[in-house]
Amino acid sequence: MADPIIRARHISHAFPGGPPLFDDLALDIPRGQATVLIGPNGCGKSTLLSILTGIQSPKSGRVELEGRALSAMPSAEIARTLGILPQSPDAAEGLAVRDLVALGRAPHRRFLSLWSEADEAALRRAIDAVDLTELTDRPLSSLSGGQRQRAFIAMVLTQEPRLLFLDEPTSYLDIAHQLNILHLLTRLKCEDGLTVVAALHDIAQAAQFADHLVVMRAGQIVAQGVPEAVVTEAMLAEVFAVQARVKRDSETGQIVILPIGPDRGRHLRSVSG
Amino acid sequence: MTSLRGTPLFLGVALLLALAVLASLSIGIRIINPFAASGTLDAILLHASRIPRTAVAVGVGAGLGLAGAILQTVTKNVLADPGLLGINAGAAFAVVVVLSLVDAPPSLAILGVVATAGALATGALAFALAGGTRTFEAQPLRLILSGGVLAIALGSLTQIVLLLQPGAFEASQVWLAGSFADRSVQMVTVYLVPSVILLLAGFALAPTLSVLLVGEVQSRSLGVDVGKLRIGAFAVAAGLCGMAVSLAGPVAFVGLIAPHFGRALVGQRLLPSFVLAAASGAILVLFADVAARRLVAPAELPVGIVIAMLGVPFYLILLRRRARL
Amino acid sequence: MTTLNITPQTGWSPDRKALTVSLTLTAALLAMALASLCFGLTTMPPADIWATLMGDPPDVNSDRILTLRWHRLIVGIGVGICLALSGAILQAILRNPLVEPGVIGLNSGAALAAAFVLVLTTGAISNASLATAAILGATTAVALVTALAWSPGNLQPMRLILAGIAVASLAGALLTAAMLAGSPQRLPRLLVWLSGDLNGVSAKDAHLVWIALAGALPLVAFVARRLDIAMLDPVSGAGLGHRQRIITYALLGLAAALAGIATAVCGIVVFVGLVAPHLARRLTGPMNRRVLPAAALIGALIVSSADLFGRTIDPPTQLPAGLICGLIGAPFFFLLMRRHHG
Repeated sequence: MADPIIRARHISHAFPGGPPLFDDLALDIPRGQATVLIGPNGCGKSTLLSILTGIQSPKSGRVELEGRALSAMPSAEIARTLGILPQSPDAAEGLAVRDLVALGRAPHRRFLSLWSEADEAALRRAIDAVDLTELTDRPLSSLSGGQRQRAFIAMVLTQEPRLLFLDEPTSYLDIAHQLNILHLLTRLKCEDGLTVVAALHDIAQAAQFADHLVVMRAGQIVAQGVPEAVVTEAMLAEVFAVQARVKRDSETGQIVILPIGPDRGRHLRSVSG
Repeated sequence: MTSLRGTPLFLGVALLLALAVLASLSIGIRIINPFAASGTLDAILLHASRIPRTAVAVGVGAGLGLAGAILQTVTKNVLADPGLLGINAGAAFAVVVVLSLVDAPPSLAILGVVATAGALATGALAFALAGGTRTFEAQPLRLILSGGVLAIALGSLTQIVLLLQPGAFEASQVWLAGSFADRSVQMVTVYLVPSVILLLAGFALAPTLSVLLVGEVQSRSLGVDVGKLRIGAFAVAAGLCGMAVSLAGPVAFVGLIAPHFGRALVGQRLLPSFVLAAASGAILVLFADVAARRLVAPAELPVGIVIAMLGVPFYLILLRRRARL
Repeated sequence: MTTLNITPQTGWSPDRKALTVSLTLTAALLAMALASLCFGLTTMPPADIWATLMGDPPDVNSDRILTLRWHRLIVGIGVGICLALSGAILQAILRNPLVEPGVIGLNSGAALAAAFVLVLTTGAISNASLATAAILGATTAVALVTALAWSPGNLQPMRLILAGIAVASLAGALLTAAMLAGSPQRLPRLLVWLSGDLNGVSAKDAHLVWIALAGALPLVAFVARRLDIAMLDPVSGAGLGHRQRIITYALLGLAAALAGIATAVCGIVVFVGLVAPHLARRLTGPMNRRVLPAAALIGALIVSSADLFGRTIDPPTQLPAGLICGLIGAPFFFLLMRRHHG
């Protein structure tokens, strides 16, 4: 792959006292595209995301962000380059949308520096981008699930990252809010050239959203590439242990997955969350 | 640490409890064989002193352990302990005020009544100040916080009374340190039925409370009235603490530490964890009381000190062994 | 770079509200300070204070009394600030609103050390050696808590809290034991110390507190933003470049130092560290750049008014300020809780 924005090589990792999770894993994240990780629960998506973002250090191996070793970069500099939305973001009681989103400026602000015009502009842009302008001063607790999620995305956008990592950003949201979030991410990718990396649950949604789809099972990358090539009936049986038809919608050309039932020949191997 | 499961664990705990009861019955300044106490002196000692003392220790230990477990579950805060309800402080304040007003110290039974009155009044006050039922249904932490503030205020008032009335200091010191000595058979009979009812009520809450663990919204969708449940749970916990403080004075640590034993041993399964909290509370108090009687015999150590000395090391071992809390 | 009004013009902005709260609190504190200088065993009207300051004391004792009251006042204010900030920092980094300096074992460590010095020795004990013992005890306790909570993986605030409970419980038990074992003649002084007393504080105490604060306040201003990030879940925090482990331990040290200094100077003052941050949050919302100044002012107000109250309510008896704190603070706490209902 030409000039990946993130290049991970020889990643090996295990939970303390647990069996090895990754063994000599390699992954490239293409610049300016949407990369989506899919795989059954417990396959290591979240852990891989946290290693790629430098939140966790792998037992061994190297992650490079734009050619530089992540482990050698100061945490504030990493935070100016990449933003992270965890699976269930959470903030203390009483925080207003504005307060939360302003926290995203932390990696840009110097010791005792005052809130600058650049800070305010970034905040406005982010809040407008997620369409929460009307709710800026509302406490987070008064927002719906989808609005909350968008507020957290706005916080991450205020970091002005070139890379956005999202761990299941659409879980717990209804279908309209799910699409809303994915459209927003697509727009940011196309208009601002943001690189997006997300772990998603819904395979059809992943296929629709991704430019580059990465399929994981039990700590290994078993397939990657454009969704059309990756999402196959054989893959669904092999990785997710489901029998399903994979079709294309005649009008939109989108991949449609029609689940039929659990794959008889296979038992769910890893269901621990 | 992997959760221990099933019968062996509970058999072990039951055995330990039996051992603790036996130790409490037989060990003291005199060693008695409780099964062959036919000798007149031993029999009298056993029936008039050891049995009530042991019964009180079991009740107080189990009650505080269970109350702590309930409070920590309802508030989802491991710092919530019975002392934070203000009940101990209220009881102590009432006792100290009475002691500073009278010339001759009244009997333990009367002090028990005074303590109960103080405890109940404080519990009710904390509840009212926290905003009554409506607020409380939504924010259980608020009750703990206002109970804690009330406890500090009453504790300060108690100290001030003691500073201004040095005479009351000595008389109250014994009671304030918490003790199981000289508990009468009458006390046990009076408290027996309410204590058992409260303990059973606490255990009966466990299955419903475990619904709370999955989250408030989910609980509501499962048809649980979260607010009522919280109030019921608090009432039971307050009753247990009130019972404990009027029987033995303010006994610290047990309500805070015993629930951790329960959780460490069986994780978040509430009924077994509540049972273990109560059992470990009783075991801790019993052994501490035995040690308090023996260590500096013929004098007695305040049982609160021994409880902490015995309980903290165990608690630290659990803390180190648990990967996730 | 120009600064902007960082909130929209609509309505009563949080920053303006916080500013108003701080100004009101400052005014209240100034009034309390004046009252503290005026009242005591003898009353000194502001005119007499002015005359004394100008070198023309109306009474031979005026100068001495004013100096004593001045030290008492500024120590009280300093102690209140220390405890409130310590509590606010701890509640933020440990992500638990029930945390106060006592929870991490600080009070009991200091109390135990003071008890050993006071009760188990026979010679005369100066305030300075008592303060040294208290600081040593507090440091040991916090070091012990940190060591017990240490784990190689991610930092878990809960472990710190649980280890703190353990150390506090153990030290509390040992304290009771020391009080029982020690000589009864020295018990009263220990009891007063455990109640948090400003009676007899000296210029040295004032220097100690304010030099410590001069060092700590810029640090606190520096960490306010870090504390805000600590309100987020750990992964979001890490995503903003927040190094949780380093920052938590550094701030734990700062909070311990602040509370330790306060305790060394005037003994155990409860209530302030727990309640002042709560009151501040209720008045200003959760952001720490607004909470910390308000909490500090509230802490100062509580301690200084408690001291004034304790020495004027029943003269010549001096009731320890630490005891009064809870008494006068509690009604305010409940009042605010009612008003900011929902």
